[in-house]
Amino acid sequence: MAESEKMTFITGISHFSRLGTDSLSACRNLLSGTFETAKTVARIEDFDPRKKISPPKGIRYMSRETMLAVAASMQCVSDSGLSPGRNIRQDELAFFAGTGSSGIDIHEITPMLDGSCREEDGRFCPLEFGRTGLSRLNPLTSFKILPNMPPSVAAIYNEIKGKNLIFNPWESSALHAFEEAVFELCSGREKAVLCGGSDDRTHSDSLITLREYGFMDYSEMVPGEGSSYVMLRSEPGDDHYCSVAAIRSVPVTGADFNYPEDRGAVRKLIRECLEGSGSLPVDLVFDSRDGNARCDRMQVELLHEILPGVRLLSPKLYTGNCFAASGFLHISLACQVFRQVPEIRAILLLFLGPGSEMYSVVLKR
Amino acid sequence: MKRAVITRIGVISPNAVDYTGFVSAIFEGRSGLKTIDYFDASTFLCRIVGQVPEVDRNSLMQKYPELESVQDIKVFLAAFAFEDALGKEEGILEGNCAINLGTSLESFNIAKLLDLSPNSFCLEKYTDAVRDPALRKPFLQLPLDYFSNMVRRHFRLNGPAFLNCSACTASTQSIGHSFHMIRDGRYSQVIAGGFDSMLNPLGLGGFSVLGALCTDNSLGTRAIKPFDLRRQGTILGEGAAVLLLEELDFALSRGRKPIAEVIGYASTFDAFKISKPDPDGNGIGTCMEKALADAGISPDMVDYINAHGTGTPLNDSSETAAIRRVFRKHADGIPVSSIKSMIGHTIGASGAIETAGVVGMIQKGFVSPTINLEVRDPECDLDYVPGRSRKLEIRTAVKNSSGFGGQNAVLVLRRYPD
Repeated sequence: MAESEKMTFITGISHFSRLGTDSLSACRNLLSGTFETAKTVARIEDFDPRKKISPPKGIRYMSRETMLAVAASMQCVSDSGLSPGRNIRQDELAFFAGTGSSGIDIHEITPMLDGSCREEDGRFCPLEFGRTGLSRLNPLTSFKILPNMPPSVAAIYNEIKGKNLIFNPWESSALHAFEEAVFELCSGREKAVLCGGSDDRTHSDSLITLREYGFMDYSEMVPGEGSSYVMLRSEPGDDHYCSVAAIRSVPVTGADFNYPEDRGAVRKLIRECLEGSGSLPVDLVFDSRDGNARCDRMQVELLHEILPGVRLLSPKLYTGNCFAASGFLHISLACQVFRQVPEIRAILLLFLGPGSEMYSVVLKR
Repeated sequence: MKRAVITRIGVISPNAVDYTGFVSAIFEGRSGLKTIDYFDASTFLCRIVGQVPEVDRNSLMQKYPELESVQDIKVFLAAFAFEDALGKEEGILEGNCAINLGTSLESFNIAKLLDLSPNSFCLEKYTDAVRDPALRKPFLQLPLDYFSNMVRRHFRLNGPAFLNCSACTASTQSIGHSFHMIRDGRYSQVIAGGFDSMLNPLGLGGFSVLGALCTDNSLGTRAIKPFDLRRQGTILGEGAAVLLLEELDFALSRGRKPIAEVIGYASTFDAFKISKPDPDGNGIGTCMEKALADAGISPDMVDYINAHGTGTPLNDSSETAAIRRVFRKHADGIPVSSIKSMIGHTIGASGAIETAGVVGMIQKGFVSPTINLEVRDPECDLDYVPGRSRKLEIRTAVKNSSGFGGQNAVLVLRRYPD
């Protein structure tokens, strides 16, 4: 990680999850200790895109994930005080994001499937698909399922024309976007980066996929939906939330894709991140517990070993595991904690979701 | 600042099964288009595609047993290109090598839905069936970074595995992002590139209902006509390209001779409309300007532009407008051509495959043609190298990409040694 990572400041945030549709209410719900944990699937019950997306006429092109990304990005840009085309050039605001697996609500394509069956055995037949099934496919489906659409549509709504990167499909993929944004600012190539993640793992296609991957076996993991963005700057501004003190990542080893299991690697990740922060006094940890018993137990034991007595919070138990959105949901919550709890000096965030890397971040006041 | 060079390339495309063959094919102006034969598409609007030649998957599966349960052809395409680039040498990849690949969209195994729940589809029936681990593979959809992680495990690499999903700009962005990471001194090696295939019923059908494809199947290999007045749309292709980018001194110290150098990169958003490019080409134009600035060169130093050149009415005219705006009086003197005229639009792989083509042109001293360009469009009035390739010593070339969602990406490449 670049030595000058301490020079990256978070100056705007947003939050859409089951915990709340803004960072303040989400943070208060998290800290209250009385908010009910998520069960089965973690949907955002009070999200009306027509109230959060302006103008609303493009909503018909959008998947749920895209709606969340547009709403969250607009909330963050507003919070940051930046206005592309007015106080910052549109092509000087970069946009880095992580998105989830593309997905269709299977119920949307059931008419298409029913029109694609071979008469003899009821199985898929390309001839029938071309003849009948395809005519039942909504032409707008392609725009909904392309995984680059959530940030691309968000860029249109926010009038952002700058450098962009979009990664897929895991929690760590979105954190790649965060880390690359920090590097862009440290290199001096960019002065401001809107950076975030969005995901919806509550639709039927995603639920099937998670089951096929084995994530639901012997696990209480609750799939969730959400989106969160942060504005990263190389200058602190008048009222920044916090700065980035350290970021570290370690590859996840093992078969296919799974939760981290290498205790030594997780220990190394946490230690190196703390050292990279200059051994700041960490007063709070956002861990990665999400109901996967083995991984949950491992991280709690390691955190007690390395940071004995520190308070642990587990946002995923309330938001569900929102995969590509999780990292930024946690970062935005941490930013709001700095505002709400004055005695917090530094927060360690741990990300051990399934994916290619595991991440740790230290944010400081 | 460090310098980033390309030392190895592998390609599989509709007109070739390796990099050497690909360079020969684009020199000859050889089309790889045909009627799709992966499935019976006789009831589909568009049946002309850029399908890769028949290749033997068995040797790949022996080397990578993880491929045995994979049905997604684009993973195999990535593996073929990887083997072409790096498979013949041992020990070339070192521990902290990063992987940075681009593609567009998961392949959705639509047939499996009806295999497990035939006739009238029932979600509960399907979900119950996949509780049985024996019925889970092949997966309904494979995560896009499956191949990257397979390579990382196989070669015990410790660097990150990025998967860029920026549709038609994905692999141009992967190469450009890798270039910046090397120039910043973060990595000495990055496996960059892209892979894609939408030649399945849902991919081909979905694109055709969007209205993006030429549906006149009688045109055969002439169905895609970039910059031609009678162009009707693009044609889907498939393929993959893998490039090994290395820091110059790192590569030279290990006896690896650079093939070409990446000297500039930029990306922008149009922020215009979801499905249409900015008709004035402002987004891609700004992107070219930024890429040239990143390379530290002026427009008059560019010898060749490899266009995005999809053959759609809107893209070709807006890209032409952008080139005119950026290169001004020099625009008429710079040849501009479209490799898509020969292989179709390989979506997430297009940037990498076409960059590989540009490197081949730099190496061999020619510019590839835009084939099927027969009738001039007054709005597309540059030198598109119609019909036949042309000898040209290229010192500096530009590669353009634009895509769904309004993303743009541009690379600047230079001959090595200069």
